[in-house]
Amino acid sequence: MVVQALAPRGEPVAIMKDPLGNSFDFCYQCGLCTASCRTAFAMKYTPRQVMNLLQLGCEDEAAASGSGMLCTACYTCTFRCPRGVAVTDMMAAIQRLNLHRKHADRDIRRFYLSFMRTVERHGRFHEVEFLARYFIPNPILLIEEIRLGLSLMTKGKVNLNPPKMKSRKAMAAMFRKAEEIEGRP
Amino acid sequence: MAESKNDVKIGVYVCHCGSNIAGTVDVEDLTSFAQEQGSVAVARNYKFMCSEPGQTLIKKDIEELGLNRIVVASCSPRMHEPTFRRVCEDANLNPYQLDMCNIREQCSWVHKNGATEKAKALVNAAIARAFYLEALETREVPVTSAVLVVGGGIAGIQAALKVADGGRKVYLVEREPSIGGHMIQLDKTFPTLDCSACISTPKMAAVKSHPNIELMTYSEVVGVQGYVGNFKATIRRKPRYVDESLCTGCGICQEKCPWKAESEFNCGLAQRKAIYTPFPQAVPNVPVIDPEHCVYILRDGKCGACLKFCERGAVDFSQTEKMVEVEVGAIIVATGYDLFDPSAISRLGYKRFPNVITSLEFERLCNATGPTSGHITVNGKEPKSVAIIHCVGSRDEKYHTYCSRVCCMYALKFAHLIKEKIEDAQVYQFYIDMRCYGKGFEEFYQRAASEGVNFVRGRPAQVTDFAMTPEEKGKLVVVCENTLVGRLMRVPVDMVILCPAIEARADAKDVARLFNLSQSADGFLLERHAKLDPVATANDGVFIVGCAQGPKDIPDTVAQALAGAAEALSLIDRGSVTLEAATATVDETLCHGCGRCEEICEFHAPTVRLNGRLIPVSSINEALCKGCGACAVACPTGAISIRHFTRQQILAEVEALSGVPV
Amino acid sequence: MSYVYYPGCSLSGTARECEESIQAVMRTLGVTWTELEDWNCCGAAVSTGVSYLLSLALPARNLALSERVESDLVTGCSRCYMNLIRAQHYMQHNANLKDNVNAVLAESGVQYSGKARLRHLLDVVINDVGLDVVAERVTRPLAGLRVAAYYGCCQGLWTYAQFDSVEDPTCFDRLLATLGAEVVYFPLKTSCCGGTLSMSKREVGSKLIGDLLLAAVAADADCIITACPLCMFNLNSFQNEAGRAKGTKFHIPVLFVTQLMGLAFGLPPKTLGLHRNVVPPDPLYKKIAAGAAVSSAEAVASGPK
Repeated sequence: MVVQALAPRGEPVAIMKDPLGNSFDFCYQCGLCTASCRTAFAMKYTPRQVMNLLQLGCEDEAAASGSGMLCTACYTCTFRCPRGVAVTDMMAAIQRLNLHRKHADRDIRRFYLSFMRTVERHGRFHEVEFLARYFIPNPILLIEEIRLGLSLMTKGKVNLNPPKMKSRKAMAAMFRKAEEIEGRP
Repeated sequence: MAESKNDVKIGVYVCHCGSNIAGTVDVEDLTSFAQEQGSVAVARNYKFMCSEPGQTLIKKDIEELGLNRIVVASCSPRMHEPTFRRVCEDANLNPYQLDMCNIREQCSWVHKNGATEKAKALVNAAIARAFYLEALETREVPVTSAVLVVGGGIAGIQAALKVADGGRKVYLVEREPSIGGHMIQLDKTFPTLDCSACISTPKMAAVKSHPNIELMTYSEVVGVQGYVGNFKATIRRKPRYVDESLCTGCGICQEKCPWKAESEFNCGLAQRKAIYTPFPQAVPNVPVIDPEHCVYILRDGKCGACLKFCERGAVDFSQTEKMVEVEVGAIIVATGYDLFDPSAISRLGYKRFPNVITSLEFERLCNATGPTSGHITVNGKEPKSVAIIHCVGSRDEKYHTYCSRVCCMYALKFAHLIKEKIEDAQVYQFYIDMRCYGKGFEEFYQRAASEGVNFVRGRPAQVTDFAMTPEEKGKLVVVCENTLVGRLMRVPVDMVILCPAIEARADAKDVARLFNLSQSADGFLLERHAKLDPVATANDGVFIVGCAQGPKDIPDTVAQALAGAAEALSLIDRGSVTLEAATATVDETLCHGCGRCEEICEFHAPTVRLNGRLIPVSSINEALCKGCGACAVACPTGAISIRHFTRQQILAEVEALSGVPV
Repeated sequence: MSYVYYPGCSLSGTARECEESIQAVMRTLGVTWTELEDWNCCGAAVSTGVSYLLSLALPARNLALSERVESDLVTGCSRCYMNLIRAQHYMQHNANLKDNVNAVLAESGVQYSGKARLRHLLDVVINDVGLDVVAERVTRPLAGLRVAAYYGCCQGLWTYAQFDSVEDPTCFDRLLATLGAEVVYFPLKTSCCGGTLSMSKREVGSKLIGDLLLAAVAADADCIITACPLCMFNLNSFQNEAGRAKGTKFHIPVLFVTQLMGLAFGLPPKTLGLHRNVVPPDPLYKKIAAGAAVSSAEAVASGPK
């Protein structure tokens, strides 16, 4: 049996560097979000349970559970929540924590960060660069995708060309500025 | 007043109100500040000015120091102006020489910093105004000894009976063809499982036979004029096309009528005839003819079966709408509630699947006088498993934020009734909280649990007919999370009962306008004070009882109805009402008779007429005037002023607040 | 009505057939637009997991660019649409947030004022062009073709809320019915396909895709029609994995909405990118031809109108 140490409430929870603040405070644990969630069955902590953990200041535990990663941002929970809790955005917030506090496994971290890196460098998603960044450190992953990759290639759906965005240099500046304003959770 | 400036002696009393004021305002500092102001003879502060010792403090000062103005710096005048006015009267000081200064709701309750400074400014202004206050005389007007009760549900019925038993005349107006309201639609009532009709029909019959009650069904109040103690209400009596004095209630017209329509009483689950009484125990037991479905009316004289078969010749198509005027001293509004329409929440399947029904529809199914004679069936089949979903439209930001109070209890009642009527039935309650707060309620919950009702704590996301396993084929599946165990569930059932929110009537806004009432944010009619004055309203003499004021069960409704009756009887037995003296007055020498005051007044107080003069002038009916000041503002010549809020008094306040001489 | 078009990153690669069919169909409907110049990635489903501010700034930049050219910004990708309108909505309700976003955008020389007007492809087709015009362009009514209209998920709260119902949208049904198709009862029509989980957590994604395919099979649908390129990708590319997850075999064609519209308009399948669909839609061609033959025979039999 684990005796939970509750985090002191006072300062807004660290993950909430966004203005939605603590809307999870309103949650009365009805479970409608979880019942509406298509991926809740695979989560260690369902969205409702995540809200409860956040209410009690246990955001690290929520982040480490990986539930944030399973959220597809379909917003059904947020739409239906009877208390107006921004559930989807809370799930995204703990996913950010998951990534930046390095709870996520390396492959998942690399998936997210590789994607963003190509956007930072080219302004648009660069398929080839993403594939290189994501698969090369763990080539086993590539083997699972060979069938899909070939199928896409034969149908002309793999764009090998780099994107041609004029202001791509400005994108890196934008990324830096965002990090400066936000800090990292 | 034949007193000179030097004769004015003001007493200033600062209330701590416990820590409500003293917690934020430095009351000692405020008192010394007040003492320094001109014409202030004495300034004191005390913990609770409205209490007995506080009041005595003021009285003693008036008597011993010869004070002729009182300023009380405390809560809102809406709380205690009457209290302190009485204190003045007890000490032989005219009550209109009291000025109340609100340093609580408008100061200490809303500011953290600067509250003392603001309080000083407010008290300074109040003192400046008090200097110019004049003694005013109030008037007494007699009260009409009759009561109008609007709405013939259990609330209206109970209120009417109690007032009538008190020896006063009651006009009971009900818009449907029969009294009974929603209560008569119910089967059994919680927690005693009394049969609803068995307990309400005797009261309905008592209403019919009571010598003091004039029952007007199939009628609506369309206009109200007047003021407390002296209301005039106009009632539209819709034509029944049946003569009430001739009809014996034999029912043969209903038998012979060939034309059908949806039965509103049975929530559309059954049909009625074009000539109909809504249910067999209707009071009065006189049918009405529905002009939208009666072929005689629609097709100019075709049919006429009822005419032919009525042995008493009671059917009378020549009837027309009649307007009736009644004079009453008090009005009790008991217009009841509507049920939220769950088809707005389409994922729960109401109106999409025939075996998803509302609680009221289920009451009709259970009821022996209902469309299935009390058998719980859907499309002829008896359900072996039933889901009851709580909080449909309640406790939900998108529909109604409030809790509807009665649903948890009637859901338990349904569970019991289903298990009683259907052998081996499985009942699932999908709830968030079980609210069983009343007398006998928790015990009823225990009883339901002991009968093997399944409780699943989780708000269902949807009711679907899409089967994912063989067990789900042909059934409705309730999808939810069992929050107590933390498990997702799909529960296949044969029938789903929704507990929709109790909401304010669709025309609550019109009712509010008619009786000059306010609505609270949730749409129900607003009481004067949530705790201490739950049936009175801001409109003196008009009382709200029952679900018109907010969702509640039958015991609470009856209690409120009796409270409303007490209020009405108290008003009437007093015999007279004191009119507020702070009303508008016209200086006829300045009035040109332009009529702008008449146009702007909501209460029809000013009338412009030749008062034996060459030009018409405005004359204010002080009984109707509420002293709001709109006419004084609209008057282009400044002929109208409001007593107790004269230009001189108000400008003195402004000057004191701004520091700028006006 | 002047439009500017936001293609989004996937439409040039994995969703190439969606892009091709969109262009072909909009041309036929007489809608012209230019591509938004210098557009950037909207952040897809990834940016919210990395940075809140970027997840709003990336789409906001595109909104700001569209304000410069004073045109309605149209996108055919639902994920892009959601990111764009979400940014717009949040900034509208929070001045501090808007300031922060603009501080980031300043690095790229643009500013967002809040005047941008965002449109979804379906909205433009149904409400601007109008279903009557669509009906006029139909030369080969899809009589007898049973289609499952799959609305997708995030579109609900953000898209359909603008011009239809969130929980029970019907605009797509009406469009497909205008094409002459028989729209089947599809209770999972707004149920999420799993988004990027098909790639990042395939065991979960396959289950979700499997449920949708099962529902289509249960409704006896000939094909599933979707309005989202990501749903298109998922439902097409993982039918084997979904079949394994559900203990069955799936082989049901999944078309993008403009692909089906193009077929009804009589456009050649190659211009609609139909040869690129992972699940070949060839069985549909025969059915459409047969249906057209029946309906024209009926028209002949009933005589001139």
